[in-house]
Amino acid sequence: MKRWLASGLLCIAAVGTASAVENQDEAFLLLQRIANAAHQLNYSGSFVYQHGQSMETSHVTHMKDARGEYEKLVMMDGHRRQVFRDNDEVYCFLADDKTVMVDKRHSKRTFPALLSTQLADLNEHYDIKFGGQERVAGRDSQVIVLTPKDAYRYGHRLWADKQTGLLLKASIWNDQNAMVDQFFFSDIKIGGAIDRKEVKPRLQGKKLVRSTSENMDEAVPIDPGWDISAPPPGFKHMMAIKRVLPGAHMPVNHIVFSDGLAAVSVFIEPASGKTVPGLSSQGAVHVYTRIVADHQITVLGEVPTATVIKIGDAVTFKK
Amino acid sequence: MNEQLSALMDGELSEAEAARLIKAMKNDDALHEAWNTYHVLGDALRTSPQLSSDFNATLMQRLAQEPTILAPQRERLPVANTQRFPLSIAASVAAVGLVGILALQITRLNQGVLPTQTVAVPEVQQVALLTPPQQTAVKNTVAVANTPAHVKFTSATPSTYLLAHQEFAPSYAPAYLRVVSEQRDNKQ
Repeated sequence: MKRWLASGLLCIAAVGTASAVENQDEAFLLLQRIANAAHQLNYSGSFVYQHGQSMETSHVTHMKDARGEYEKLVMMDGHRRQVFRDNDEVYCFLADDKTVMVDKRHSKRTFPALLSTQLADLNEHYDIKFGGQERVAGRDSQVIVLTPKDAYRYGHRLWADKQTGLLLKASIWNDQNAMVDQFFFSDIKIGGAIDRKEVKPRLQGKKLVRSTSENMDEAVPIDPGWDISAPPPGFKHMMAIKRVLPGAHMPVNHIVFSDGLAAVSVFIEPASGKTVPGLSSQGAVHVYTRIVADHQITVLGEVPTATVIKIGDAVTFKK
Repeated sequence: MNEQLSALMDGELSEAEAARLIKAMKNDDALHEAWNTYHVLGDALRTSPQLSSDFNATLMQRLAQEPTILAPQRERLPVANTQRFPLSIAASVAAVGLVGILALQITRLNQGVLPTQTVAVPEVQQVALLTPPQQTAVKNTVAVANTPAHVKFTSATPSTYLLAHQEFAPSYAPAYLRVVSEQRDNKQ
């Protein structure tokens, strides 16, 4: 909190600084509340995810008990796809209904913790303000607007349930004030008991495809020699591990940067003949691929193209 | 062995290696099963049209039920052709993509992100998926506005990366939202 106070004092010439700072403090609290609510509450509802020209409906059930967190996400249109999460284990049911891809989450800390450590830094890179109050999915919500201070991040608008803090709607905006992607609940039930059976994947008779080296600990350091020296301002190095991705055989180096709101992953692995350098996107997620020292560098995150490119181009290898 | 399977799907095995592996597959049910699984995985994550999960079994059953035609055949297929058959399957599989590369399909960039909005990604991407790997590199030279000149717009990215990234993505939204999401933009 000292940091925002300091930056608040810097713009002391601005009118109404005191109330702005107070307002920001409250906004931080709300952000914290949003982050916690997503993990601590039981909820179940349908939401729409919209990106580009396409729209998809999914149903999510989230349950928290003494043993931890369980989640079920079911795609309602198109192919039948489901994702289950049992604490650290993520099960992706593929459309053939027989095959389940299993991934283990590598970070012991959940995102709220991650977020809170960086919350104080957020206002160096975003203007954080309260918006109005709006109704979403039949519930009253408070709007909070995060406007980026540079071109390396998107703007975010969040609609938090007034009663519980749960996020009911969120949209991501680019620098031309056009929406990049958004999700919103159309219908939601918050609180109340949820039977664990409902969020438990049924694995009998399914074919599980796991990462080949499950025992690979998160302590495995990445290959030496790789360096990403100049990430865009505000993107801090969060972690670096060597891991095997599900369905793959060879380990990849995985490095994560975050500005407290958006995260960028960098994957480094030996290049194959199939590597196609360039840029691709899905909604707010941009992916940038290039080759450095015979290795494929894949940079991915819910950030503008400029950010993935800058991080990707900053990757160097020294023997 | 699994690495060999994906190499075969990528068309990266020599003819001799491929022949050996295919032979091994004929004798090893587990290996054959793994081969099928790889395809199912790849198809599912690329969201290619799905065959029913018991397609193989049904097909074999139907074949078994086909009446045997006793009329004499005019000409036998040359032996060489029948031998090449499994390899050409491998080749066409390699052309469509591969396991391990679970293609995240690419949307065209959204309005506003790209003022030009001319990106012909939908068609190009279809082509890319059907083009053998060695040809994909030249497939798309659409330069993206507000993107440095050295960056080209490409197609598929493995969604496994997205999955691996997801645990660090902002948690306020339902987790794995983008992982289950499929891109139907390219059908428009």
